[in-house]
Formats: sequence, structure tokens, C-alpha cells
Amino acid sequence: MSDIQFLTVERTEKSLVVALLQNVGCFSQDDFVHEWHAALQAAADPTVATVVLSLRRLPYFGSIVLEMALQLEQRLRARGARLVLCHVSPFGREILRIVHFDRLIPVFKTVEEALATSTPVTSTPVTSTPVTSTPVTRLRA
Amino acid sequence: MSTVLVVDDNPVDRMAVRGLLEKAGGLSVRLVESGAAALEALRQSVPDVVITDLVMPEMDGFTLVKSIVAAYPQVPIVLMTGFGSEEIAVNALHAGAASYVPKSHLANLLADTVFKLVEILRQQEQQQRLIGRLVRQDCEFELDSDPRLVPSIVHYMVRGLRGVGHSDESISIRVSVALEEALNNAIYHGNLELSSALRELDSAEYREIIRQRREQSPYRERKVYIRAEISRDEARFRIRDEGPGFDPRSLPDPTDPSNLDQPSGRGVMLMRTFMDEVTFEPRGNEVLLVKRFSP
Repeated sequence: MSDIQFLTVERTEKSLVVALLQNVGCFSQDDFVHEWHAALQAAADPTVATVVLSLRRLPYFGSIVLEMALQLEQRLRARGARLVLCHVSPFGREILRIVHFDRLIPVFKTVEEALATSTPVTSTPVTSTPVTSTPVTRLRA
Repeated sequence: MSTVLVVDDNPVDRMAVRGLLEKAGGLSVRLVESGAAALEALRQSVPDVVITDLVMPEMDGFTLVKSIVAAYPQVPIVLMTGFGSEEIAVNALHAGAASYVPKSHLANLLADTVFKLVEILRQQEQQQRLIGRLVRQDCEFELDSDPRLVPSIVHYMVRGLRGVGHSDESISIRVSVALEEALNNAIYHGNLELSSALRELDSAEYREIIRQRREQSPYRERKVYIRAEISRDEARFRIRDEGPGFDPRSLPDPTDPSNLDQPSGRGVMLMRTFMDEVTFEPRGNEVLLVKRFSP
């Protein structure tokens, strides 16, 4: 294990606040996988109704962080819980808008706002369609 | 002649420091008696180096260092440390002070410390002048399929952009995102032939597959080749992997509502959004990213 910490997980009464501390350059980094796995496990607790993913420390992010968010959102949605984002940088919001994630995951200004209100800042999320698999042998990111 | 601002509430120590520095020669010395007076002096004229005592009434050395670092980050600060000021000194060094000299060794070390800092400053200025005249940088990298290198390569390329004068933060971020996507693409999907759908697996399983492939033939022999041509007019990044290639037209549109949940396609989309040109070679294992800069 290195000294690098990728995320923190904080439990409140019915919520979990996951804060990414740095951009995840790769999905295979041991420390990151360990921490992300622990966060997913904590989020699987049936008493957790909302997971707040804080991106305060990330001036930008790419498809890896988007896929992490998607993975978490899908797991939560499957059991009737929800994922929200907060502290998204202006450039991060642009990325969310480009890939239309702002339609999928509500975005709030702060953790407090995310925990206190259910009204997203950017837009109302659409009801997502069920996941279907695409038979492509090699998919690019 | 290099200029030095000395901050010390003790008039005897102030004069002693002036004597040491003037005896060394080549330094113009200005004395002030407090942190507040030092900040006022800096507002009037920014010296090359600040030397400060740590234990002073009203504003101590740590507070002064924080204020100077915030407003004049280019000015190196030397701390004069004495018995009882060790904790403040450690905090001040963490806050950005450049060096320290024990008060008991001022005669031996202070002037040399100042001259070393002045020399570093002079070299930095020359370097800045030289970099300001850089018009083009070309470089090539040959990487193993090690994703941990991606942030470093991206950082290197952004430095290259800044080197030829493109220091706009939004350009840096956009190019960073596009490069990160292209490099991860080349490593994960190109050389290691990992489909995005595999990320649906448990993260530990996914990591294990990556680990295995990095040790197996033919994956382990494959390289990622990066060629960058960065000029004031444009930046061109050519990234090639040694995987079997793919057909970019096969990617689903990730913004189609029915595809929002799909794991793939977002990386290429971000590349296309943030670069002016994204061209895949017909085989699909080489991509050219171009960012153009208006004059």
C-alpha cells in the first residue's frame, strides 16, 4: 500500500458521502481498487438511501470517473437508492453535460445541499432505461 | 545589485545582519522592525530576498511568511532561527520559506545562503527568458502498457504546451482530458484488449484480468507510441497501440438516452469535443489528436 489516498467515505444517518480526493488516472491501481471496493460495499448497505459523490478536489475528470459514477448509480438505482453529485467544477459540469450525465445524476452545489434537498441544481434527471448489453467485441472507452 | 529586506524587531540584530551582508558585497540591504513594516516595504518595492526573524511582537515570522508567500510567491524568504523558535520555523518552512539560518551561525552562513538563493533566482529568470523564445517542441515516447504512467505523460505534454506559450488553464484541461482518454484507450482497449463491458465486473476481478494480461503474451510485449509536435500554432498528438484495432463507427452514441447506461463511447466523445481534430487510422489502433490555437 502506498500513502496515496483516493477517497474518503463518511456515513451519516441515511446517507453516505464519498469524496474523491484526486483524479483516478487508471482503474487498475491497487490502492484505488481497494478503496473503491470498500466504498461500493458501504453503499450497498440497505439503510443508505442516498450516496453523495463529492468531486471538490477534481478540477477535471474523464471517462474513468464517469464510469465509476455510473457503476455506483446503477447499483443504487437497482435497490431504490440514489446517487447525487456535488462540488462539481465548472469544467466538470461541462463534461457531465457533454455526456448527458446531468440527465442521469442530479448535481448539487454542496454536500449539505445534496443532503438537505432533493431538487437538483442543474436539471431534473430522466428516468433511465434498463441496461441492455451491446454485442460489440471490442468497445472503446 | 541584488536587494535584501531584513525584518527584525531587535535593532542590534538588524544592524549586525546589515553588517554581515554589506561586508559580503553585492547586496543592497533595507531594514525594517516589524512584519507590518515589511509588508509595507514590499508594497513599495519587491526585494530579491527577504530575511526575517521569527519571534517578533504583533506579527510573528510564520504569519509574515504566509502573507509574503501569498502575495509575492517569487520572493524567497530566509528565516533566522533561535532557541525557542523551532516550532515557528518548521511551520514557516512548511508555509513556503526557502531556507533558515540559526542565529548562532549568521556570520558563517547568512551571506552564502542569500547568494545561493539569488543565483537560483537568476537562473530561473534566464530559464524563463529562454522558454519564452521556444517556438516548437517535438518528442516521442514508447511506453509499456502501464496506466500509472498516463498522468505523468499528460502532465509532460501540458508543460510542453505551456512552454510554447499556451498557458490558458481551460486549454490545458481540455487537452489533458483528451490525452488521458486516448492513452487509456490505447492501453486498456488497444494493447490489453479489455472491453468496457468488463468494467461491469467486480473491480477486483477487473484488476486481476489487467494484471494477468500485462504478464501474458502477446499483451505484455505491446507498446504505446506517442509522438507530440507542439508549436505556437497547433499541437498534434499521435498515439498508436499494438492491439488489433477497432472500428470507431461501431461505438454507440453515449448521449443517446437509450445508451446512457452503456459503459463505452464516452472517452472518444470527450476527445472529439475537446480537440479540433480527432482522426483514427483505418485499422483503428492509431489516433491523431490536433488542437489548433488562434494567433
